[in-house]
Amino acid sequence: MTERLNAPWGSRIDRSRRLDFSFDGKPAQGFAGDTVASALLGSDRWVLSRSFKYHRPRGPLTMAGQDSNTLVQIGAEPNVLADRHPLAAGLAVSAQNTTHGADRDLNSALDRFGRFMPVGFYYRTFFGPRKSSWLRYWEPLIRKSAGLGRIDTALPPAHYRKQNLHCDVLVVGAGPAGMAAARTAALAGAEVVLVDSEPETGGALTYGRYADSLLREQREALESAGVRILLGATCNGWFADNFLPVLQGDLLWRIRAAQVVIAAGTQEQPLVFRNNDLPGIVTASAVQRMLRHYGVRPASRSVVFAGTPHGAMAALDLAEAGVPVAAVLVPAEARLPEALLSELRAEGLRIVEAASVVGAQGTRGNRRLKSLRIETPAGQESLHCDLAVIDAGSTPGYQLPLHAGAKLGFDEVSQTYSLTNLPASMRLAGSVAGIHGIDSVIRSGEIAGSNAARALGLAADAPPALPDADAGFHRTYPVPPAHNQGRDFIDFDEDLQVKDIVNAVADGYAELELVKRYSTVGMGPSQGRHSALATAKIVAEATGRSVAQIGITTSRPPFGPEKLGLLAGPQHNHARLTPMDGWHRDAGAKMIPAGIWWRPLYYGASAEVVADEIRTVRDGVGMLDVSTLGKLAVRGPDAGAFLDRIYTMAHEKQPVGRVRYCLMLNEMGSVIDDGVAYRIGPEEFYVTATTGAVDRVFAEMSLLNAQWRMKVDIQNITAAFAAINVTGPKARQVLQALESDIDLTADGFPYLEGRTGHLAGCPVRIMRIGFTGELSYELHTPRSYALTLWNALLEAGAPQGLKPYGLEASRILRLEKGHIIIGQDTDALSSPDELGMEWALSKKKPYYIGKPAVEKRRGLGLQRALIRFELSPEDGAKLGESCLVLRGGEPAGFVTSIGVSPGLGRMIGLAYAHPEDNRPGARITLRDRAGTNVEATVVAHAFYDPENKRQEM
Amino acid sequence: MAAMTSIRHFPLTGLPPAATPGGFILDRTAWPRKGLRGAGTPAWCAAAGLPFPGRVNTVAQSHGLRIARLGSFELLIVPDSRSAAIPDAPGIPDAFDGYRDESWAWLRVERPEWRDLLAPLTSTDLSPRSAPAGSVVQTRLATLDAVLLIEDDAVDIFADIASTDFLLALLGEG
Repeated sequence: MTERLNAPWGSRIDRSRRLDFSFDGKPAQGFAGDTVASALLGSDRWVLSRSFKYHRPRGPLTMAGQDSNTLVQIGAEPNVLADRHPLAAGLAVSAQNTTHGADRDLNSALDRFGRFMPVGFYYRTFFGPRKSSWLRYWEPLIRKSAGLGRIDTALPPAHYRKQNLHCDVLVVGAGPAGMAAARTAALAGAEVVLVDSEPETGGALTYGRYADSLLREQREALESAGVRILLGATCNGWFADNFLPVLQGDLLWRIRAAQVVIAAGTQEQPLVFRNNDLPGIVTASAVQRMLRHYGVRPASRSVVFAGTPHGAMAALDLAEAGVPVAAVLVPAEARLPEALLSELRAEGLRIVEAASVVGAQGTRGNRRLKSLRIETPAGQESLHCDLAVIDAGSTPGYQLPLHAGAKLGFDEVSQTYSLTNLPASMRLAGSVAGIHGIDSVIRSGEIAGSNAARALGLAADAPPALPDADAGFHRTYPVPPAHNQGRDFIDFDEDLQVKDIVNAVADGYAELELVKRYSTVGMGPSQGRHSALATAKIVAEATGRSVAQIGITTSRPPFGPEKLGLLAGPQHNHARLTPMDGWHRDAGAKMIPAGIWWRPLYYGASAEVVADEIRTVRDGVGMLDVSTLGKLAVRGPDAGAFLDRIYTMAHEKQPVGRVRYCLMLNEMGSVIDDGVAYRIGPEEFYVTATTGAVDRVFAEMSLLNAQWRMKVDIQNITAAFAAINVTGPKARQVLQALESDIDLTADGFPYLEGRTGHLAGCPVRIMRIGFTGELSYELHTPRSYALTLWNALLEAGAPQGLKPYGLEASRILRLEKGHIIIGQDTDALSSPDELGMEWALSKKKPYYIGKPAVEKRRGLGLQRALIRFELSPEDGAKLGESCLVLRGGEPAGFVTSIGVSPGLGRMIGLAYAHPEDNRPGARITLRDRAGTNVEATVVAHAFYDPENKRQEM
Repeated sequence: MAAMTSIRHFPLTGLPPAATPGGFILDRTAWPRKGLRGAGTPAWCAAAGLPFPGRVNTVAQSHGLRIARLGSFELLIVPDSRSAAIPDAPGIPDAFDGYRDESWAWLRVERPEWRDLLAPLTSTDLSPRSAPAGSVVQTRLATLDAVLLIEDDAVDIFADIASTDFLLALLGEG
């Protein structure tokens, strides 16, 4: 490791704590407080990666995470910004996009073949020599070489968090302007959150040429104002209503602010010249960060291009740090304050006026800058140096304002961008607003903060703006014509040169959005931070327009990279449990998720118990927890009339105590849900719906009544009631063994009726309906009574052999009766006619939802019908749901439900088929999962007890 | 109908009343409460001798009860103590039982920092300024529809009873 500069240089590092790590497998060292990049620079290692297309060596450019030259792999994590990532002991860092590490990349040979890779070349190549060449040869080759970094698919899951935060004022950027804005707004009484991606407040005050006391004063003032500060936090976008996500490590802050102040600073722009990408060419603030934050001695000999006062101050910093400065180049277009020029001269620095940079030369393999070739009115000159500090002006941090709808304009006179058309709740402060003199920067923050506070109705004086001492000194620089030898990069991420953009325009892409898509300029990790302005200037020149007319490509969130885990996590699996859930688990049930509910599939160690459960129901009595069933309370004078409109059967005149089937259609006449309606009283119905559809049905009912305004109250009470289906020939005996005020005799409680009363001391609503095809009682009780009733039934039913059964047995039991399950046997087009449910359509009602469509579709004729089929279990061994039904060798339908009936000893199922095949005894062809065609026989509606005698006993 | 839901029988999820270490999350699901809805609700309040809050999302207090107005004609009545009696007024037309003693879990967070605890679970502004003591917030909490009765150092949460375990687990993460 080379010697670091002595303190006070290196404000962030702790020289007493050395940290060992590795780069490309070789040992390396740094200090606590270093970033990975600063630690490597401290060892005089400048090559961190290889460029995308030409595999040229690349090193730090901004030291602020604004360029992609510093993307490295750290352990299992690819694409880590080395100039942002804190150094830790044991890090295994490696270069990306290279065959043998940063120093040796066999693919660097591509740099010599640049002429064969002009802009958009990939649209015209890789198609030959044969038609199959793309898939056989080129695609695998490109896929193998594409991408940056390596993904470790064996990584264990990581944990991510989200936090919601509301505030009055969000200030983005904790430099001098942001600190002033936050302080001012907070002192006026606003709740203020200040966000910055750096690990400390201060921004440029921490690395620029400012008095230490200024930083200290600003921090103390901020601390006493009670501002909430988030550091190491990146504001990654602006969304409607001032919703701004802020990324802080593994935490995503979802911030909602009434007012926003953007003090995001600027993005320094590179200078365009041949070989302007060599390691050792950096921005002015980059070298200041190296010096002041990390105490890195960046070079043995430097040259500074001072296009604005910032560059001149960087030169003074280098001189102060003892780094030789060969020359300070002042371009012809530049205006620097005379005081600053005098200071440079007083340091003995050579000032070269009217200087432009023609090109750079690198060491062998272009691993480091070796010299800079400059041109002045006196001619050309080579300056030996291993560091070139480039200050070619800057663009404002425009991203967040543009997300919010602001416009980016360009002034040809000052050659600078400016932001206008900001939303009313967003303000700019500091250099992002084009203000550079430190006093005016701080004042601009105070103005923005007080204006934000006043917009909230708080009392705050708006101080007057201060004249900007640096006004007129800041500008950007023209892009020279394409160098005849190329390698004058305008987009370092995509290895795009000036001629690439010129050629894109020549190829016919005159509009910036098309130039972007054709050339990929601005599409790399830096997202145009360093290429947008240069590209606009080239396109303007090539098309005879102004930069303002060219504009900028649309800026969209995210501002920077964000991990998908931050957006997705934390993962919370919502589970709803019935009151008997604990009992099922204790009884050894195999539990499965049914939507977001957990339900027992069967009770036992394996599915072999299902046949026993079915037999228990058919021969004795079983009980099923059906608490997940949707339940709706429909109450009021218009309750019956309301249900008449919703469902296909008649309910307005439904007698009290009667239970009636409910079928719900949509406006297309397709079946969307079914259930039953139990009329408890003249103005009260208890309506069931399927587990999966009840929320939708409730929402639809609520929406419709908001339009119809009928006197009816609808409430989704699914969770308020538990439900237990007691079913089997001995079901009545079980219930009669319990104390009850309900007449449970066959005559006293016929099929399709309901009763309200008590059973085993529990209030109940009981409905006699038939899903299994056996004598069935569906008992509904308030949730708090569920376990009591469940246990009471088990005890009373023990002599009858009562046992619980699960979903799998239930599925087969209903299949044996040919009953459909909504969503399983129906799809978006299933009409009552297709399902053979014409009986459920009232012929007398003038209207129900879907009635007009049912009648219209009837006129079109049936295209398919849901049929029941059976075959031997051996023949149907490889059949399953969705297997095709064939007719004449062509698909005519598909299987919706299928299973083996232990009682019938047959494989039975439901399927859509040609309507002409819907006749008992017809033969249909099914294609199983092995691709074999098997024959099945069509049966009438029910496989079991077709006359329904057992359920109506 | 009142007989159907007036008796609390079991802790519904089987969890102990103080579900977290330190006991700052209290499961009051077994406490009595009453939901009412329908155009007859104001008349029901008058017959029961209870105030009907003047605005939606506000709470009135009477005889050890908090009466929270959730909608034009929807109320939630909760006692301040387990033994406080909730009156009844049967026979009022269009005043329907809202089944809130059976359909909602009631979790109470007693902790001055309860707002920080809930912040990861809802994007609603629960700051003292936006959700002052005595107010009602109806929002989404941990993907559930929830009603919050706000106090200075505590909040009562009412949400889907079938999701009680899920909600307790998320609150416990804080």
